Amino acid sequence: MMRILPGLVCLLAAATSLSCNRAGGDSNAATARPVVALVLKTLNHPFFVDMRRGAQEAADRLGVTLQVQAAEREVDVEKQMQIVENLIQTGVRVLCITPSGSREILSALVKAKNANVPVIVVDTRLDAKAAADAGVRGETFIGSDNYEGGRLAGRHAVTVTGGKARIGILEGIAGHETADSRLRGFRDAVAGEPGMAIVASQPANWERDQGFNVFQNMLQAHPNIDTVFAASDLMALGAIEAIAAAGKTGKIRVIGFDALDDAKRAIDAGTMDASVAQFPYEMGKAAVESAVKVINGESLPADIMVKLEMVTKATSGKATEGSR
Amino acid sequence: MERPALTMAGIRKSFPGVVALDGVDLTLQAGEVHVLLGENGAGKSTLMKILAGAYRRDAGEILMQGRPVDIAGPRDARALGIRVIHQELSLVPSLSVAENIFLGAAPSRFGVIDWASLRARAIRLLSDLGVAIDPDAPVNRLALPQRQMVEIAKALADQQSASVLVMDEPTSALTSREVDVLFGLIERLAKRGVAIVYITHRLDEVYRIGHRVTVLRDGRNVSTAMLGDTSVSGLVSMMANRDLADHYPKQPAPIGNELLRAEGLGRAGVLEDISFSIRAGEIVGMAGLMGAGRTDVARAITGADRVDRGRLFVRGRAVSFRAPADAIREGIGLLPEDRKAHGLVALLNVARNIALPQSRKVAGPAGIVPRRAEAALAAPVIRDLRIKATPDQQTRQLSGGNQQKVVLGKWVAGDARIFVFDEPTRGVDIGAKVEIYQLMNRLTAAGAGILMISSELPELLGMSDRILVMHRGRIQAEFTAAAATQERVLSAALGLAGPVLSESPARTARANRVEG
Amino acid sequence: MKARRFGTLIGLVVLCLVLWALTPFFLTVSNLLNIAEQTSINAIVAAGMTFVILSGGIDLSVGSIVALSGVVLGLSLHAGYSPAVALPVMIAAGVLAGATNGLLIDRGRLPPFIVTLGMMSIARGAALLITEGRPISGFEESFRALATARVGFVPAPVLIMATVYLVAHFVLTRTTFGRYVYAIGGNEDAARLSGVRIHLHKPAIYAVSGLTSALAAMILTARLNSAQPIAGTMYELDAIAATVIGGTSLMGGEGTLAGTLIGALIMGVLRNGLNLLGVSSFLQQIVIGGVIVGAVLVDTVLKRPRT
Repeated sequence: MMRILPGLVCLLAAATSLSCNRAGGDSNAATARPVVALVLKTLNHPFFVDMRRGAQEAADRLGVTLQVQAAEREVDVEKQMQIVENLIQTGVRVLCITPSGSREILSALVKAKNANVPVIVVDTRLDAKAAADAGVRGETFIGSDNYEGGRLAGRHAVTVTGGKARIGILEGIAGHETADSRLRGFRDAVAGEPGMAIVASQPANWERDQGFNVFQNMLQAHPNIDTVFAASDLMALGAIEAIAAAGKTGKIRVIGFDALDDAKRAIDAGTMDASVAQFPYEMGKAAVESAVKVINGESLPADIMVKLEMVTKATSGKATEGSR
Repeated sequence: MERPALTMAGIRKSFPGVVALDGVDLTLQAGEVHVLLGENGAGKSTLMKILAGAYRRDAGEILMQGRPVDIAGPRDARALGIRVIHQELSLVPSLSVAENIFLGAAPSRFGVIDWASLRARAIRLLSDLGVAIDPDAPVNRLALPQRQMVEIAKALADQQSASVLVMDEPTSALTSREVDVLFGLIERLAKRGVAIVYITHRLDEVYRIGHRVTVLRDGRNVSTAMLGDTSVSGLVSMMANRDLADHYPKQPAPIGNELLRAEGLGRAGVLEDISFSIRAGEIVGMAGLMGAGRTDVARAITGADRVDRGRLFVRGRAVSFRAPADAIREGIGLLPEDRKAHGLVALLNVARNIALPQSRKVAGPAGIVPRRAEAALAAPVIRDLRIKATPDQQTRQLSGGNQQKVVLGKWVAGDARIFVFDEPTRGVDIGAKVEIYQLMNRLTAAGAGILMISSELPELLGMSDRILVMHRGRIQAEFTAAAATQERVLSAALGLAGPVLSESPARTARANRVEG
Repeated sequence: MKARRFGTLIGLVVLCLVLWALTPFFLTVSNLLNIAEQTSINAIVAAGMTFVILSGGIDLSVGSIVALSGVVLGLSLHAGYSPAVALPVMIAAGVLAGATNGLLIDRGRLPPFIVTLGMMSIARGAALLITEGRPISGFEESFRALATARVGFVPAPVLIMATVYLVAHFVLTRTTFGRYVYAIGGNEDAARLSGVRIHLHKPAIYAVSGLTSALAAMILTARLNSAQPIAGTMYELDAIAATVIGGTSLMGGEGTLAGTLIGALIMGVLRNGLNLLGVSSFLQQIVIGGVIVGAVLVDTVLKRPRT
């Protein structure tokens, strides 16, 4: 066992030096600067990687130190909660968080409140009633209106199909505020059109490989599906592969959400029809800007809505620069 | 006379506490089939392992074609053209016949196996040996004798030709027709000039296939002779060991009531019609060759294995064991043949091993073990059996003799009255052996009954009140201590004698029932 | 053996000293309590895992049993049952799932890896099925106290963890069942021939693992104020890691609960410290993986017979 010690120390030392490099290099100045924490759902999704880039840009510009932490897996609320508890210990001035669970995270936010750390909620709203019960109030909410995004996708579907389509839907993880809002928006938008039939709707849990499998199965059961709405681009990209595997490329319209780089490439290539663009880079930027305002004692609006856009082949060039 | 293919002279080998080979000589001529005979433990396997490079000899000389050679490992043995076919086959079941034959020596170009050449060479080799086996068939689809042929082909597959081939009980699992095929192959190989060492327990085969015979006993040469000059009974008496029989500290105990009775126990393919009884104060010996079913009897009457047929009585009451725990409850304790695999939990300390079968008693009704309760239970046992260890010592650190005493201690510590000892003195030094015999005397004096399975005939003859002899899953014969001789027991174990019973097991059982 | 347990403890202490030197936030009462609280769930699952691994088995289904018993608890509470009813029901669910593992392994003579891999999927699927994939959220304060209450300054989960370890340690060292766990793991054949009723004790060993998984689910549900069918994913790996870091041999028969607790604490301290230092989650995974492999490497080297 004695032999484990040097190894442990080396690992820690390596980790620390790497983390210092990333945190800005000038560790002397870092102690003086206020620290803003950004807790993400995960870092292995392009959406959150973009958000982090925007936040880092704003932090460098405004002279604050940004600490970014994320759970290893997007759905791991308990790990996210531990991160929040640990960050509170380090004396962060403001906590920006994209909750992995809109109710589950509240226990952690209560601890932040008790430690007088103001909270800015990004991307996923807290459950309003549960938050009120717990006495938690975010300084502001920064995000896109997912319901509105879903409606945007729905209206687009109605337009391009001429009001007549057989639709398959790939849902996100059930019970997630984001997933539910996008779905509701889409369903509401197509509900008024008698020609728009939703023939299947199944969860693919935000994941690309599940998007592939679930849509492949869906296509087996309903070979006449001509339009797909996926509540995220990763699932949409999976569905595109399934369509290609079935030899139906070009025969099925795919509408996604998030306008990831891969999705835009697919739109340019014509394998995907459209995607609702969110601007995570803008969200990250706004989060840090708002955090600085909180530190300076300025007041914030209850909601800061970041725009949404429909990216199609015609607009995809413009959309790309918007998220950089 | 031509220069011998192989000469082993004055080979000595000892293991801690035991001299396995004490100056053994063996000479093989090219083209002869040389039979190697001896009881279990006579030294046949050790001698062949030295030849194969598995063991290093302590002293002695090995010459091939008159030139001294040094066999430091299996690789050297192969290079010298020595091939050994073991009882346990070494084939990979999922690979094809051809792949198995050239396993590890496949013809290849730049690390890529040359399949065409591999297959062609396998076909040539198999037809050379005169066996019709599909080289592409996976080995697991072949019958046992065919696998054995593949094993032989594998042994002969090298570029270099084999000059010495050792076959260790190759026919033990074969039917008589399959034996014919094998013997045909052996004769063809011998005609080509290969010197063959043939180890067997089947004396009837010896005369069919062998030219000369060497008999070993207790690690020494007894005789080497042309088979034409010997008789079966001559061979048996050469194998039998006649010294020592009086050196065992047997103290007869008064024989009491019947403790255990088996009636017609059977398990398909393993045991058939096993009937015997053990009475208080009695040591019942059980002889037989390896694989004769002795250990299966031990396991059947201790609940370790289920039986298909037959009945078991403890003190006249019918019992049925679903697990060893049931047998233990009836006061039956088993000292298994392989103490490392079945006797000890090597990671636990001595006290906990000894207390393991007594856990219920050591612990209160709530299952809570009081501190030091196990040590308190074990301490007198450790003292009585003179186990050189503390209660807290891990059993894996002990010597073989002390480990064996710990396993004995598990049963001595409890209220077992019926002891089943499977090879109780195997791998222990002479001092520990005597202590184990003395323990057996104490147990019988206290009214216990013992079934002692052993491969050492002197020990069986020296300690038993009666001896049962197993042959191919049956009780072949039963002798009283007075009537038993090494020759008679050995003949029965080899299956030569018919059921020469001093008293038939069935009759004993009936008689006891009337008594009880 | 004692030297090694001592060694793991030294490892933990040195780790703490290093973190103390690196960050001022580490050695504070509130942070140490945080660590204890954050460790409690993994430590409790690992306690049951230790029984299983000591017996020579493995239980991959613990994470899914956490989810299943958690949603059983959530549904019972939402159905209006008091915690006094709901808690026994969920514990029964966990114990039942664990005992099923044990029965299949023993009676079916199947490898524990396969059986618990199957149960991992079955229990997860059952949790998703009965909740239709949705989390069950919002419980009474009286129930949530299991995670939020403090006795003195000690958080309730830490107290529960301590109780679990005290009881489990007693069972393992002072009862016949504990002896049998070691004996079965050390040499199952010898244990059977010594009269240990394997048919009885193997299912019981896996039931213990189910029980601790359920207790962990209780804390997790109270802590998150939500029972999620996707909860507990990868818990099996954390629990195995804690057990193995704590010096329990994957071959069975050797190890202690104290070691497992230290192993869980090493993982908890490491995660906490890396968070405090602001190390990225990617790098955290590398460090934790390194510690697991390193600990087992040391274990193996120490066990190798000296030449």
